[in-house]
Order: sequence, then C-alpha cells, then structure tokens
Amino acid sequence: MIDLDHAATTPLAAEALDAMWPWLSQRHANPASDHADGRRARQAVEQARAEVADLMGAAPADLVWTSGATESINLALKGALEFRGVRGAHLVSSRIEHKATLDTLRWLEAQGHRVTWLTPDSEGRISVDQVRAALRPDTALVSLMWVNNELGVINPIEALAPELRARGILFHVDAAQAAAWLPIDLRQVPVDLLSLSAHKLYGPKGIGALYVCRRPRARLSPQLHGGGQEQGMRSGTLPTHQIVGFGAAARSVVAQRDEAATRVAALRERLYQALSDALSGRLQRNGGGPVAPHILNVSFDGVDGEALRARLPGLAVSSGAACSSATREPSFVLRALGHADALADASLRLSLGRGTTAAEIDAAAAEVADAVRTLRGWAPA
Amino acid sequence: MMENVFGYAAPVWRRFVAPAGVGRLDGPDCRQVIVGSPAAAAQLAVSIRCVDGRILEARFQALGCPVTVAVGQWLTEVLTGQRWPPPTDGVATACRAALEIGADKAHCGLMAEDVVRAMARLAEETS
Repeated sequence: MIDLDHAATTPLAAEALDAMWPWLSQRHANPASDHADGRRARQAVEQARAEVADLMGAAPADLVWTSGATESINLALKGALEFRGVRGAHLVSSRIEHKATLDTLRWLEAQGHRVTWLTPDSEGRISVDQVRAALRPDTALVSLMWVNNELGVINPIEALAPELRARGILFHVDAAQAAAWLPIDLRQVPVDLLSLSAHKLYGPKGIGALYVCRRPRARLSPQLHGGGQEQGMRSGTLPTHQIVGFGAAARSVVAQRDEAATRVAALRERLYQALSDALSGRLQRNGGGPVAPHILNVSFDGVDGEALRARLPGLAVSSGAACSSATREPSFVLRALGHADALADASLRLSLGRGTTAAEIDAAAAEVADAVRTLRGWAPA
Repeated sequence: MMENVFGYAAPVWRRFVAPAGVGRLDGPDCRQVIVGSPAAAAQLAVSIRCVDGRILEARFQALGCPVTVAVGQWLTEVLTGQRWPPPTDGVATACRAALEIGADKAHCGLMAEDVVRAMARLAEETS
C-alpha cells in the first residue's frame, strides 16, 4: 500500500514510539500525583511541552494539552466567547475550514452569535482584503486555517495577524496541517489562539494542544471541568504517554522540517507532472497560490469518483477530508470553489509524507493514470 | 484479481474488474440506447446487433460507480440471445438479484430497466 493520505494522519515516528513506550509499559503514574513517580511523569510532560512550544516559537506556558485539534478548536472558539460573555458576537471565518471549525461555529450561530462566512476564490484562497471587508466594529474573533486540509492552500495568516491584533480582534488559527511543514514562529506572528494535532505531525492520535497567547492574554472559559489540570483550562488526567509522543514527534519535525518540505514539494510536483503527462494534460489541479508542500488535489473529468477510488486498491488516498469521506458526498471544499458535484466527486487528495519516495510517487501516478484511462475508455462518447 | 477494498458484492466486483462486454456496436443491424444523467456522472449506453428479430451481440459503455458498470456488463450477458425488443417486465428485480444490489444502490439496478424500456420505445418508433 502506497500511503498518500498523510493529511488524514501520519505514521508514528520511531522517536515518538520510543519515547512513549516506557510510559505505556512501566511508568504509569499520574503526572498530578505528588510522589516521586508522579513528579517524574510531570517532568516528562513539561519536557514535551517545551518541545511542542519550540515547534512554534512559543513559550511552554502558552500551551494547553487537549485531546486533539478538534478539542483545541472547540476550546478556543467556545471558550473565548464564553469568557467575554458577549451575546450575539460577530465572528469571521471561511466556508472551507475543517469541519471541527465549521460545526463549532454553526453551534455558536445557534447560540445567537453571527458569523460572516468568507467564500474562497476559485483557487481556494481567502485574501486579506476579504477579511478586512468582513470586519465590523463588533467583530470579536476571526478563525482561519493556516493550511487548507483538502487543497493545501496557505492562508495569509502572517499578513492578517498584526492587523487583527492592532484592532483588538481575537485571531484563532487552525494549524493542524501547517505545523509539520511551515516554519511557524509565534514570536513573529501575533496569533492569539492556535490549534495543533499530534497525529498530523508523526505523533500519536488522541493528543493535541492549544496555544493561548499570554501577552496580551487571550482569556478562555474552560469547556471541561474537573480536576483543574492545565491551570484550570482543561481538566482531565494528562496522558503522559501521548504527550511525550507528541513532544518527540515535534522534536523530529523541527530537525527535519526544512529539508522535508523542500524534498516533498518536489515530489508533489513530480506526481502532478507524471499524472499530467500520462493523461495528456486532461486533469484539473485544485488550489493555487502558495500551497503547503504535502498536498496535491486533482480532479478528473469523465470518470465516476467512486469507480476511480475502487480501482486504486494499492493507494491510500482520499477524496475530500477523511472526516467527511464517510458521508460519500462530494467535497464541500471543491464545491465552494465552484466545481460541479460530479467533478468534485471525481477528485483525489494526494497527501505526501516525509517518508514518501520517488518510486512510490511514480507507482502511484501510474496506478491513478491507468484507472482514469480505463474508466474514460468505458464511458459513452 | 484487483483487491475489493470497499467490499462490493462478488457479482458486482468481478464484472467491474474485467467487464468483457465494454464497447459499442455500429452498423445497419445495430441499435443503441443511452440512459442516465451526464451531470450526475451516471450514464449507461447499450448497443445490440439484431438479426431476424434476435439479439446476437450486446455491448455497453458506462460512466458511473462500480455497480453501474456491473449493470452494463450484466445487460450484455442477459440480452444476448433474447428476442428484439427484449421483455421489460421484472428487469430491475432480476438485475438486483443477480448482482446482489442493496438498497443504497437500487437506483443503479433501475438503470437496467431504463435501458430495456428505452429499447422497447426504440423498437416501437422504428417499427
């Protein structure tokens, strides 16, 4: 199986597994326990916190552990508005955010808040001007993803952040797809809240983090109440094994990111060129402008998406986001770009990883091209 | 055989992997019907060669899911040897049973009946 579904999840880094194993097999203490084993667990948690913070140019104290980016996004959006106690707050986001953001914002709309939904251009980009035009005197928060999970398109976070900070508007960024590939430095980019997912950067599933800016302080109301862990921001026993795995994965990303990004971007272009050559240019590339190194989204007219995927048993790929694939509906992201349903359905998101090889790229391109040619050959003229 | 990753019923899968009846028949003895919706990426075209009121050969072309392709292939199998026009009664039911089509793909089975009914209309128009 050739794995071209790294945007859905990444394999666990060997360093992460090595870091986790002792905390699964021998050391089981609760990091909140006040004895020697508990303190050792606590130390490991804080070491990992420093490692994940280093990934983003943040301070360890800025990070709150969560169960993943979905929880981070919920905590950021719900927590920020709840703390402010504002009824009918105005929020700005885009139509092509991850479902974790979309569904949370829809829930907030149902609670009486108002959302301006920005429509991307045909390349999948949200522009600074669009965001500016949407802002109102009562805008409380803007939420955008740094890298779109289906298209790979990079949003202008660095350009927007200073402006929103100057206007006193909270800025939440979903960095789940960005952290493994882009050199994020929150000392330079004044974001207030930023969501991370370990399993998108070679760490374990079930653990994430929320960056919460301390200066100026981004205040949140906790969404989980209980033992008061994470300074009351997120109660619940900390899973030491997952946290140390996250830390080790973050460390591995920092060490490899620049080289991996360059190499993988070249492989992505090799994949696109191979498909284009094999299909005589009869394919559509989705997502333009600056794109993250690891994502290629292409549509193939004249084939049925389900039939195409059925003829790719040797490839792990997705059409649309993994979290939405189960619904078997055409990608809402591609539909937002103006694709007809049939073309949106006949699309593949091919997402590479730092371990992807040129041989895998060539084999994948051949398999996809063969499937597309076969299906086009079966279609009525 | 290609791995059946998505668990299609065996009669569907073997027809989708190697559909022997793909193609189009042209000529004075041939007729073609096409049903479905290009916008929905669901189309089935079936052509037959008919001599002395009997279908000697059938071919299909399909744009659609694996079940749609299997329906096309199944039609080429059942139409060959039948009289022209073929009977329309019970085609969808027979198709669903032969291909083990579930409720979620029942509309694909109905395309088989659409094809045969289109053939009946064509026969009427050209008689």
